[in-house]
Amino acid sequence: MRPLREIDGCFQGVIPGYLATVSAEGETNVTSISVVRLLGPTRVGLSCQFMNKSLNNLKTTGLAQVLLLCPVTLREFQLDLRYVGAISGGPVFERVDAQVSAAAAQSSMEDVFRLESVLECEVLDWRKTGTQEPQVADTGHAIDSLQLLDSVAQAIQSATDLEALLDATLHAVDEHLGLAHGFFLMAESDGQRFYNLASRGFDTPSFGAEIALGEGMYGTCAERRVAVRSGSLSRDRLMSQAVARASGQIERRLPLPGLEAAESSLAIPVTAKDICLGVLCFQSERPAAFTDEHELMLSIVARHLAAMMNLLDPSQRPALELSGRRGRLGGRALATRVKFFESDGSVFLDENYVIKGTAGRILWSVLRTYVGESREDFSNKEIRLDPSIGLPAIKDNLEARLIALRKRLDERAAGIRIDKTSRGRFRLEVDRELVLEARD
Amino acid sequence: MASPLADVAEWIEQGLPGALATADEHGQPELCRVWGARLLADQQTIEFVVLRSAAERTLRNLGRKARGSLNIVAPSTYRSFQFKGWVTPQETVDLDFCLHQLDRIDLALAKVGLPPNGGRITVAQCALVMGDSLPDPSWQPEYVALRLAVESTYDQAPKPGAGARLS
Repeated sequence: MRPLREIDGCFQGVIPGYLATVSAEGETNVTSISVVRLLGPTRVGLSCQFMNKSLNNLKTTGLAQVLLLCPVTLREFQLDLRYVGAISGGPVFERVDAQVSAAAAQSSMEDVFRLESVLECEVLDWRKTGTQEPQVADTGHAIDSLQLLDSVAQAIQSATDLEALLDATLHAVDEHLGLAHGFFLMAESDGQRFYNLASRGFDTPSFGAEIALGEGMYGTCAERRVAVRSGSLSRDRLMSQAVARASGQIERRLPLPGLEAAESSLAIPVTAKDICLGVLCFQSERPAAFTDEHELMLSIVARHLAAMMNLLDPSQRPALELSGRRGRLGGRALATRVKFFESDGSVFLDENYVIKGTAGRILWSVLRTYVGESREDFSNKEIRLDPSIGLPAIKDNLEARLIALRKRLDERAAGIRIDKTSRGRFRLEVDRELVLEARD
Repeated sequence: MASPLADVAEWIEQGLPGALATADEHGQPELCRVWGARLLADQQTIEFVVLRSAAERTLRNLGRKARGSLNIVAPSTYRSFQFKGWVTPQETVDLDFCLHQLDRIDLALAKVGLPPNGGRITVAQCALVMGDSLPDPSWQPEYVALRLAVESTYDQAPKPGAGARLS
């Protein structure tokens, strides 16, 4: 039997397959199947949801066939299977469950689309449907994966602060692994929310955009601490758009970075011990763009990243040298109305949403001081002590928050800028008059 | 009394992908993709087409007549039904209907992210050794029409209680 890796694209869950089983009496049963995952050289796992007859047949006769389409070439393949057993826990179950949950989370159907088990099957034989392809010898990879990983690791290790670390990681993954569209979601100190701190390859970087733990595929990745892949985002979008239309919900928040025609996405948790520090997220316009190999390589990258994040954590080591101070912005000919909503900490500049949550409260606090006291220089310490911001006493992630806020302000070209001036200090630079307005 | 299939006739004929399952004498299931289906005037029989080059084992399993199960699914809504009964190969095929249905399947698949002509490319991939482009538009593979005399129908939309028998 030829290696199943040759048809890796079929196992990305892009196009649902069909599963046929047969009863002891010889009666066939056919159903759609959402996930067929490669478990090993001759094993696959089938997602078991809402299966009654098929499962009974598998337990009784053990024989099955799946029909799969490669989303890239649209070649069709048949796999003859023999049922081995049901897996209802452990790493294999967790990975498939995360994939199913992430897709379901797009339409808030997590409770309905629950994975019951993964049906492990031995592949007895597989073949392309219809006309057979001429057999082509596997020429192997042109470049050694280890060599590529080493290049990424070197780039990661050269970083001297968190901002440079994340930028270097996304740059190196683009340069060496060819994944051009990526961003990093940083965990809040309580681990319940994640915000965009670094972004590469998107028209709109959306720094500061937030998601909740368990929300969508990236939130699911953080919650489960397992890699989550989708090879067919347009299918997920169809479902979520339908739900959004039905609910009539309009959310006041910044969307995550995203390719307009994204078809594939891969989310990798960045964990240290049992703590999720963040999520590395990648997108592609090609269906099934991310393979098992990508997942494995990026999981190794994520481990390096986690180690470096801990190493560079300002609470665990002396601060590094600081960036130089920039010059002042231009004149103050313009006036900007700043609206702050106390309920969620969101800040709008001239009716345009900027940021919310903790970063929004920090921005509002410094803008109030700037206007009220005509003061431009601030210390991290006073931000930490400001009760209106509500930072936690331990592990407040303030430095990362300030990076996100600074990037977001730069992205918005809002006429307001934050510059780091020395260790634990920053300056607010504003090129216009500000009119502040607080609302509940 | 109206046939229970009458309710799904319009749905079936909108041009949806599907698959037929049969089994050989050893109980090995065999799947074959279905391209276009319609409910015949008797309201009890579904006619559909398969690609001969992709259905050799299926046609061998069927012989002159054998039992089979047909699943049809709407890719954009996941609504799905399974029909079981006796399947009989036909000697002629309505090619115009088949091509019309293939056009509609292309549209249904494009809605869920497959490339334009996704159905036609799949058909061509099953019948030819080819790259990513379609063959000459005048080229047509050989289709075979099959008829399923429906004995039972099952609701297979993904939900708790999926697979419930409807008739």
